Amino acid sequence: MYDKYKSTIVSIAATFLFAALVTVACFLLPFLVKLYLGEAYTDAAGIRTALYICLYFSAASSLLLSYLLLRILFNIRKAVVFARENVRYVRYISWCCFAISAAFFALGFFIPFSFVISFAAAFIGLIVRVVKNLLNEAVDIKEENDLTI
Amino acid sequence: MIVVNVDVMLAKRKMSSGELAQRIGITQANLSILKTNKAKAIRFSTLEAICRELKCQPGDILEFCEDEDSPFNRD
Repeated sequence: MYDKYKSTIVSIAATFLFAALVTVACFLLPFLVKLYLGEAYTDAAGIRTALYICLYFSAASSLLLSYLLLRILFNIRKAVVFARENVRYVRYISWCCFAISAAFFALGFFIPFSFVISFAAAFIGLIVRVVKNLLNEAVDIKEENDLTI
Repeated sequence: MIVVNVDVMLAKRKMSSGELAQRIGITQANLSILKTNKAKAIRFSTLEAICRELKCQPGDILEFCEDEDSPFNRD
Protein backbone atom coordinates (compact mmCIF):
# COMPACT_ATOMS: atom_id res chain seq x y z
CA MET A 1 0.00 0.00 0.00
CA TYR A 2 1.30 3.45 -0.87
CA ASP A 3 2.43 5.52 2.07
CA LYS A 4 4.14 8.92 1.78
CA TYR A 5 6.33 8.32 4.83
CA LYS A 6 7.40 4.83 3.73
CA SER A 7 8.04 6.13 0.21
CA THR A 8 10.69 8.59 1.43
CA ILE A 9 12.26 5.84 3.57
CA VAL A 10 12.51 3.61 0.48
CA SER A 11 14.11 6.51 -1.43
CA ILE A 12 16.60 7.17 1.38
CA ALA A 13 17.50 3.46 1.60
CA ALA A 14 17.92 3.28 -2.18
CA THR A 15 20.15 6.37 -2.17
CA PHE A 16 22.35 4.86 0.58
CA LEU A 17 22.52 1.60 -1.39
CA PHE A 18 23.50 3.51 -4.54
CA ALA A 19 26.21 5.45 -2.69
CA ALA A 20 27.50 2.20 -1.11
CA LEU A 21 27.64 0.51 -4.52
CA VAL A 22 29.58 3.43 -5.98
CA THR A 23 32.02 3.33 -3.03
CA VAL A 24 32.55 -0.42 -3.37
CA ALA A 25 33.02 -0.03 -7.12
CA CYS A 26 35.66 2.64 -6.44
CA PHE A 27 37.71 0.18 -4.36
CA LEU A 28 37.22 -2.60 -6.90
CA LEU A 29 38.00 -0.34 -9.86
CA PRO A 30 41.47 -1.72 -10.73
CA PHE A 31 39.97 -5.21 -10.82
CA LEU A 32 36.93 -4.07 -12.84
CA VAL A 33 39.07 -2.17 -15.36
CA LYS A 34 41.27 -5.23 -15.83
CA LEU A 35 38.14 -7.34 -16.32
CA TYR A 36 36.74 -4.89 -18.87
CA LEU A 37 39.88 -4.27 -20.87
CA GLY A 38 41.02 -7.88 -20.79
CA GLU A 39 44.12 -8.93 -22.69
CA ALA A 40 43.41 -6.78 -25.72
CA TYR A 41 43.93 -3.39 -24.08
CA THR A 42 46.49 -4.02 -21.33
CA ASP A 43 49.29 -2.52 -23.40
CA ALA A 44 47.39 0.59 -24.42
CA ALA A 45 48.18 2.71 -21.36
CA GLY A 46 46.32 5.69 -22.82
CA ILE A 47 42.97 3.95 -22.74
CA ARG A 48 43.50 2.57 -19.24
CA THR A 49 44.46 5.97 -17.83
CA ALA A 50 41.52 7.65 -19.55
CA LEU A 51 39.18 5.00 -18.18
CA TYR A 52 40.53 5.45 -14.64
CA ILE A 53 40.24 9.26 -14.74
CA CYS A 54 36.74 9.17 -16.21
CA LEU A 55 35.43 6.54 -13.79
CA TYR A 56 36.94 8.08 -10.63
CA PHE A 57 35.63 11.50 -11.67
CA SER A 58 32.16 10.03 -12.32
CA ALA A 59 32.27 8.21 -8.97
CA ALA A 60 33.08 11.46 -7.15
CA SER A 61 30.23 13.21 -8.98
CA SER A 62 27.86 10.34 -8.17
CA LEU A 63 28.74 10.46 -4.47
CA LEU A 64 28.16 14.23 -4.43
CA LEU A 65 24.89 13.62 -6.27
CA SER A 66 23.71 11.04 -3.70
CA TYR A 67 24.68 13.40 -0.86
CA LEU A 68 22.50 16.12 -2.47
CA LEU A 69 19.65 13.63 -2.93
CA LEU A 70 19.85 12.73 0.76
CA ARG A 71 19.79 16.43 1.72
CA ILE A 72 16.58 16.85 -0.33
CA LEU A 73 15.01 13.69 1.12
CA PHE A 74 15.79 14.72 4.71
CA ASN A 75 14.40 18.19 3.93
CA ILE A 76 11.18 16.58 2.70
CA ARG A 77 10.92 14.62 5.97
CA LYS A 78 11.39 17.91 7.87
CA ALA A 79 8.46 19.27 5.77
CA VAL A 80 10.78 21.74 4.01
CA VAL A 81 9.65 21.03 0.46
CA PHE A 82 9.12 24.11 -1.68
CA ALA A 83 12.23 25.96 -0.54
CA ARG A 84 14.94 27.77 -2.51
CA GLU A 85 17.42 25.43 -0.77
CA ASN A 86 15.92 22.42 -2.57
CA VAL A 87 15.92 24.28 -5.90
CA ARG A 88 19.64 24.87 -5.39
CA TYR A 89 20.26 21.18 -4.64
CA VAL A 90 18.34 20.09 -7.74
CA ARG A 91 20.38 22.53 -9.81
CA TYR A 92 23.63 21.06 -8.41
CA ILE A 93 22.32 17.57 -9.24
CA SER A 94 21.79 18.58 -12.87
CA TRP A 95 25.35 19.96 -12.93
CA CYS A 96 26.62 16.62 -11.58
CA CYS A 97 24.83 14.85 -14.44
CA PHE A 98 26.38 17.21 -16.99
CA ALA A 99 29.83 16.70 -15.40
CA ILE A 100 29.48 12.92 -15.73
CA SER A 101 28.28 13.42 -19.30
CA ALA A 102 31.37 15.54 -20.08
CA ALA A 103 33.68 12.90 -18.55
CA PHE A 104 32.19 10.12 -20.67
CA PHE A 105 32.23 12.38 -23.73
CA ALA A 106 35.98 12.79 -23.29
CA LEU A 107 36.34 9.03 -22.81
CA GLY A 108 34.44 8.58 -26.09
CA PHE A 109 37.59 9.51 -28.00
CA PHE A 110 39.24 6.39 -26.54
CA ILE A 111 36.22 4.08 -26.29
CA PRO A 112 33.51 5.22 -28.75
CA PHE A 113 30.68 3.40 -26.94
CA SER A 114 30.91 5.83 -24.01
CA PHE A 115 29.34 8.52 -26.23
CA VAL A 116 26.09 6.64 -25.57
CA ILE A 117 26.55 6.94 -21.79
CA SER A 118 27.49 10.60 -22.24
CA PHE A 119 24.27 11.21 -24.17
CA ALA A 120 22.18 9.39 -21.54
CA ALA A 121 23.76 11.37 -18.67
CA ALA A 122 23.23 14.66 -20.52
CA PHE A 123 19.61 13.75 -21.13
CA ILE A 124 19.06 12.93 -17.44
CA GLY A 125 20.73 16.25 -16.58
CA LEU A 126 18.32 18.01 -18.93
CA ILE A 127 15.31 16.33 -17.32
CA VAL A 128 16.56 17.31 -13.84
CA ARG A 129 17.04 20.86 -15.09
CA VAL A 130 13.43 21.04 -16.27
CA VAL A 131 12.32 19.70 -12.86
CA LYS A 132 14.42 22.48 -11.31
CA ASN A 133 12.59 25.10 -13.42
CA LEU A 134 9.30 23.57 -12.33
CA LEU A 135 10.28 23.54 -8.64
CA ASN A 136 11.44 27.15 -8.88
CA GLU A 137 8.00 28.22 -10.15
CA ALA A 138 6.36 26.19 -7.36
CA VAL A 139 8.50 28.02 -4.76
CA ASP A 140 7.39 31.36 -6.26
CA ILE A 141 3.74 30.35 -5.96
CA LYS A 142 4.23 29.11 -2.39
CA GLU A 143 5.90 32.39 -1.37
CA GLU A 144 3.02 34.34 -2.89
CA ASN A 145 0.57 32.13 -1.01
CA ASP A 146 2.46 32.44 2.28
CA LEU A 147 2.45 36.24 1.99
CA THR A 148 -1.29 36.40 1.36
CA ILE A 149 -2.80 37.20 4.71
CA MET B 1 2.72 50.77 -3.68
CA ILE B 2 -0.06 49.98 -1.25
CA VAL B 3 0.77 50.84 2.37
CA VAL B 4 -1.04 49.06 5.20
CA ASN B 5 -1.78 51.42 8.08
CA VAL B 6 -3.19 48.97 10.58
CA ASP B 7 -1.03 50.28 13.44
CA VAL B 8 -2.46 53.81 13.06
CA MET B 9 -5.98 52.46 13.35
CA LEU B 10 -4.95 50.19 16.23
CA ALA B 11 -3.62 53.22 18.12
CA LYS B 12 -6.85 55.15 17.45
CA ARG B 13 -8.95 52.28 18.80
CA LYS B 14 -6.45 51.70 21.65
CA MET B 15 -6.25 48.01 20.78
CA SER B 16 -3.14 45.84 20.98
CA SER B 17 -2.04 43.93 17.89
CA GLY B 18 -2.24 40.66 19.83
CA GLU B 19 -5.89 41.33 20.63
CA LEU B 20 -6.66 42.21 16.99
CA ALA B 21 -4.94 39.06 15.76
CA GLN B 22 -7.00 36.98 18.14
CA ARG B 23 -10.27 38.72 17.19
CA ILE B 24 -9.81 38.31 13.43
CA GLY B 25 -8.43 34.80 13.80
CA ILE B 26 -4.97 35.15 12.29
CA THR B 27 -1.62 34.54 13.93
CA GLN B 28 0.48 37.37 15.38
CA ALA B 29 3.20 36.47 12.87
CA ASN B 30 0.82 37.01 9.94
CA LEU B 31 -0.45 40.29 11.38
CA SER B 32 3.17 41.35 11.72
CA ILE B 33 3.76 40.57 8.01
CA LEU B 34 0.77 42.76 7.21
CA LYS B 35 1.93 45.64 9.45
CA THR B 36 5.48 45.64 8.08
CA ASN B 37 4.16 45.81 4.48
CA LYS B 38 5.75 42.48 3.55
CA ALA B 39 2.41 40.99 2.51
CA LYS B 40 1.85 40.44 -1.21
CA ALA B 41 -1.94 40.20 -0.97
CA ILE B 42 -4.77 40.40 1.52
CA ARG B 43 -7.87 38.21 1.44
CA PHE B 44 -11.24 39.98 1.41
CA SER B 45 -12.23 37.88 4.44
CA THR B 46 -9.22 39.19 6.40
CA LEU B 47 -9.90 42.78 5.30
CA GLU B 48 -13.54 42.39 6.27
CA ALA B 49 -12.62 41.06 9.71
CA ILE B 50 -10.11 43.89 10.32
CA CYS B 51 -12.67 46.54 9.26
CA ARG B 52 -15.32 44.94 11.47
CA GLU B 53 -13.09 44.79 14.55
CA LEU B 54 -11.55 48.25 14.08
CA LYS B 55 -14.88 49.76 12.96
CA CYS B 56 -13.39 51.44 9.92
CA GLN B 57 -13.41 51.39 6.10
CA PRO B 58 -10.79 49.62 3.93
CA GLY B 59 -9.59 53.07 2.87
CA ASP B 60 -8.66 53.82 6.47
CA ILE B 61 -6.13 51.00 6.60
CA LEU B 62 -4.99 50.75 2.96
CA GLU B 63 -3.29 53.68 1.27
CA PHE B 64 -1.90 54.08 -2.24
CA CYS B 65 1.54 55.70 -2.44
CA GLU B 66 3.23 56.76 -5.67
CA ASP B 67 6.51 54.89 -5.53
CA GLU B 68 9.10 54.01 -8.17
CA ASP B 69 10.39 51.01 -6.21
CA SER B 70 7.11 49.16 -6.16
CA PRO B 71 7.47 45.66 -7.61
CA PHE B 72 4.33 46.27 -9.66
CA ASN B 73 5.83 49.27 -11.49
CA ARG B 74 8.96 47.58 -12.72
CA ASP B 75 7.77 46.43 -16.15
